[in-house]
Amino acid sequence: MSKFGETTHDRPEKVDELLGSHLMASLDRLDIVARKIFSGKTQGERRSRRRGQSVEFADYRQYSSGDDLRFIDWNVYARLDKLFMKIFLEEEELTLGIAIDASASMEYGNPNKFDFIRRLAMALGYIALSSHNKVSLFSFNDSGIQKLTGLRGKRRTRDMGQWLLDQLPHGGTAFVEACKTISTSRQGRGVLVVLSDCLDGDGVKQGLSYLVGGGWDVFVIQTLSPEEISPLACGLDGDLRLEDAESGATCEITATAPLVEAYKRRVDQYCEDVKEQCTRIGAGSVRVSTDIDMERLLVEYLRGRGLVR
Amino acid sequence: MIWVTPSVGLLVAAITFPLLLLLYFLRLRRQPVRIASTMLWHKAVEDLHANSPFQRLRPSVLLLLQLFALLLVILAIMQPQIEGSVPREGRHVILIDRSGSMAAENEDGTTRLEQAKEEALVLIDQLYGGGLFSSASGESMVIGFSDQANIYAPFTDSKQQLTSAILGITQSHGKSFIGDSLQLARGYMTNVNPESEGVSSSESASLELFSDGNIEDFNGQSLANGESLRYHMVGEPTAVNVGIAMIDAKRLSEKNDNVQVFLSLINTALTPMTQDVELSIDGVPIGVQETVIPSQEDGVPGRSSVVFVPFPMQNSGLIQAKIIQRDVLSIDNQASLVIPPPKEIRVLLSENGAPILQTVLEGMALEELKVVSSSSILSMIQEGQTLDYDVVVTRDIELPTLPLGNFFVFGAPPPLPAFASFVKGDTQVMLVADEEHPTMRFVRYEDIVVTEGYDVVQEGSSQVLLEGSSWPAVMTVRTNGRQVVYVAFDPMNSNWPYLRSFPFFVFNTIEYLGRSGEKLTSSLRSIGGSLTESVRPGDVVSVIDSNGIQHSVTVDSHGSASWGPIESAGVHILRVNEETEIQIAVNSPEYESIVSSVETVVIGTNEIETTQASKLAYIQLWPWALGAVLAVLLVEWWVYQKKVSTPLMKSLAEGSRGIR
Repeated sequence: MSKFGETTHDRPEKVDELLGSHLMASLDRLDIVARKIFSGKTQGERRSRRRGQSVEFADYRQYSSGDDLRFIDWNVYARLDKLFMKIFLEEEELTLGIAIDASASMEYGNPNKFDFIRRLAMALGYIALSSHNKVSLFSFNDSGIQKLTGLRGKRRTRDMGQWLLDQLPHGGTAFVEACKTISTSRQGRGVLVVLSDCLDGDGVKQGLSYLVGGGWDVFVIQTLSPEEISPLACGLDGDLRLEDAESGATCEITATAPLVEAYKRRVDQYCEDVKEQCTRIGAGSVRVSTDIDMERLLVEYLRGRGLVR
Repeated sequence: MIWVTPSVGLLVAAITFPLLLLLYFLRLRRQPVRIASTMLWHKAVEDLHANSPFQRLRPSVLLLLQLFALLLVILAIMQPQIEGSVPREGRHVILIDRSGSMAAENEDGTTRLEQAKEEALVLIDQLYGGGLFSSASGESMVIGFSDQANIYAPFTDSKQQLTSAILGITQSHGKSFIGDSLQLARGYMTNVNPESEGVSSSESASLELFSDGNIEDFNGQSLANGESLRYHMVGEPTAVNVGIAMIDAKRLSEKNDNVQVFLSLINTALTPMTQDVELSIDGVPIGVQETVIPSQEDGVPGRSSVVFVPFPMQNSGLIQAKIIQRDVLSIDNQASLVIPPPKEIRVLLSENGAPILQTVLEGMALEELKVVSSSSILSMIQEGQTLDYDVVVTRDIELPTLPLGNFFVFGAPPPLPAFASFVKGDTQVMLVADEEHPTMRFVRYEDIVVTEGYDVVQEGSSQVLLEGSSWPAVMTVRTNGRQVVYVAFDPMNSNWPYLRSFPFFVFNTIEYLGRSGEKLTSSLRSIGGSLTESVRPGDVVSVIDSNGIQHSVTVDSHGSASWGPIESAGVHILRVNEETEIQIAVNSPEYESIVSSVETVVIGTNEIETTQASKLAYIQLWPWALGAVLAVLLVEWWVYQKKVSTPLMKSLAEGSRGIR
C-alpha cells in the first residue's frame, strides 16, 4: 500500500522512455506557433518581418483567452459572430525556450509531475527541432538555472533527452530569480514554454512579468497531479499532518469533505489567478493534470490553445 | 420497551461522552503525509476555520463509531427489556410440579421438569433481571411438589438464591398433589410483625404454577382472596403414553411352587396400541408377550390385562415386567415385584402326656420350637408372650382365654364361641375330609379311629375339615385376629399317631397357620412413603435407591431402620451390615401415566388457561447491545488501521481527469 501522493510507476531512465516512437510519429506533423513575429538570425521556415511589412496569411484558429486582440479577424467575427485568430505562415527561424521547474514540489504525484513535464518538454522540443527551430532548455530551482541552448536539428533530440534525464528536482522553486535570469539571457527571442506547478504564490506572477518583459512569447503549462486536484478521490483520508516538500512547513488537517472542498476551491482560484495574470501580461496558459494522455494534450489541447499547429 | 436502570445509564453517558470528545480533541497522533505544497491547504483550513471543534467533529468516522459504541454501552447499562405482562412488584410463589408425569420427554428430548425449570428461570430473569444496577423487586419463593411439598427457597429477593433453588429441584416419580404447596405458601405469606405482638398481616401473592396440569387434588383447591394463579403449561397436550398400571403375582393352588404374574396396562392414546411386554426374573428374561391395549375413551385410558404363563419359582426373587417399546414416559414402562424368601416359623408347644406332637414338630424345619409346660403357657398367654410365635400348639390343655394369634389345639376346646357347646363324643371313624384345604393335603383319613373326643355343636363360623361318623373331628375357625385349627380329640385316644397321615397333617397345619397372612410378594412401597425394616440396634443399614445412589440409614435404639421419602420408582435395596440385602419394589403410580398436558386447569370456580406469552416477556436486550459494541469496535479498529497505515492511492475518478 502506497502513501498518498507517492509515485508508484516506473521512472524514465532512457531517452526512449521520455518520447516513444508512436508519439514521435504523431509529433512530426506539428509545429510550434508564435503569436508574435520575431526576427531570426538564420533563415527558417518563417518569413522575417524585415523583408516586408506584411506577413503571409496562413490559416485561422479559434480565439482563446489571452490571445492578442490585434490578430482577431473582425470581418469573420462580423459574419459568423465568432472570434478567429489569423495565423501567419511566413516567419523566420523561431527559438523555443522550455523552462522546467526542478524544485522539490515537482517530485510528487502519481503520475509524477516532474516526469510529466520532462516528457512534455521532450515532446515540445522534438516538435521544434523537427520544424528546424532552435531549442533552448532551462531547468530552475533555488540552486540556480541549468540550461542547454542552441539545439538545432532533430539529431539533437537525444542530447535534449539526456539533459532532461539528468535533471533532478530538489530544493525550492525560486521562480522569480529563474525568470529574471532567463529573461536577461541572450538566447534569442521566441516562444518560452514554462512547465511548472506554479505553486510559488506571488512569485509566479512577478516572474512571468519578467519573462514577458524580456520579449518572450510566454506560454505557461501549469502542471498539477491528480492528488492536488482531487485529493479525496485519490485516497486522502484521516487525521493528517501535511508536510511541504520544499519548505518543510506542516499543516494539520482532518481530511473531511468540507475541508477538501474548500481546498479545491482554493486550487481553482489559484489557478484562475495564474491564468488571469498570464492573460494580463499577454502570456498563454493552460492547466493540465499529469494523468492526461500526452498525445491528446499536444494534438488537441495545445493545438487548440495555439501553441502548436 | 422498558429501561431497568436508566438513571445509571444517563449518569455514565454524562461522564463518558464529554470525556470521549475531550480525548478526541487531545488526540494528536496524525499521520504525516508529504505533499508538494501546503500553501493552499493552509488557506483552505483558514477558510473553514478547521480548528473550531464542530468543524473538526463533523466528519470523523472514527469519532462517530466511538460515539456509537459508547452509546451502545450506555444502552446496555440502562438494560432495555421488551416489556411483558409479569408485574415486577409484589410477591410471587413459584410452584414447580416434579411429579412422575413431569418425567415425560418432550419432542426435543428434554423432560417436562427441565422445561418447567427453564421457564421458571426465565420468569426469575423477568422479575430480577436488573442485575447489579436494578432496584429491588418483590420477593419470591420456590416450592417443588409431588406427593408432598418442599420449600426450595423461602421468600427472598435474591435472584441467585432463587435460581439455585430452581436448579436444585429434582425429579420425583410420585403423585402430584398441590394442596400442601398452597398451604405452605400461604403459611409463609403470613407475616408476623415483631413490633406488634400477635398481630399478623397477610399479603397475597401471585402463584406461578409450572406443571403439565395433571394434578390429582386440583379440584379440591381454591384461591384465597387476593391470590392470583398464572398457569404455565409444560409438555404437549397431544402426548400419549402406555404404561404398566399394576403388577401382581400369585402361586397356583394346585402347584404351590408355580407363580403366575398379572399385569394391567393402560393406554392414553386415541388409537389402540400394540405393545410387547417382557417378563424377567432376577434380570433373566423368561418370556415376551404381545398385547393390544384399547384406546382411551372420554379421557379414560384404555386398559388391558396381561396374564403370563405360570413359571416355577420356589425361592425368593425379583420379578420385573417391562414394555419394550419406548414412549414419552419411561418410568411406568417397568414394574417390579419382590418374592421374599419363605418365612421361618416359630412354634410354641405345650402338651400333656406323651410328647407325640413334640416328636413330630422336632422333625420339621422350624426356626424355633419352644416346649413349655401347661402352667407356663397359661402365664405366657396372660403376659401376651405368645404373640412372639407364629403358631401356638396345645394338647389337652384348657385355655382360659385365647389371645390373638394362630392356634393348633388338640383335645380340650379353645375358649371361642364356636366351640363353646360340646358333649363327649363316642368312638367313630372318619368319613369325609375337605381335601381342598391345605391342611388336608396328602392326609389319608380312612384308617383313623377315634375312641373318645369332644362332640362340638357346630356353628356357622367354623369350617369342618374332617368329618367323623358321629361328630366333627377337625375344624377351623378364623375370627377377630385369631385363626384356630381344632382337633376335637386327643391323638392318644386314637390310632392316628401311628398312621403316616398324622405327621402330614401336623406339617400341613403348621405350614398353614404359620404362613397365615404371609403374602407371596413383599408389600409394594409407594412413592412418598418410607422404607422401614426391623434390624438389630447397632446394625449398619443403608439404602440404594433405584438410581443407584446409596443413602445411609439411622437405626434407632429399638432396632428400627427407616428411610424416606421414596422419590423414584424402581427396585430399592436395603443393605444391612454390608451382608444382607433386601430388595424392595417401588412402582410408578398409575395416575402419573396420564401425560397429556392440560391447557386449562380448574381451581375452585376459576378456569385458568395456560400463559402463552411468558417466554416473550422481558427479553433482555443488553447482551445484544454489548454484541453490537463489539462489532462496532471491530469496524472502528479496521477503519483506524486503514487510516494509520499508508492510504490507498485510488485510481482517479473519471471527472477529475483532464484539463481544467
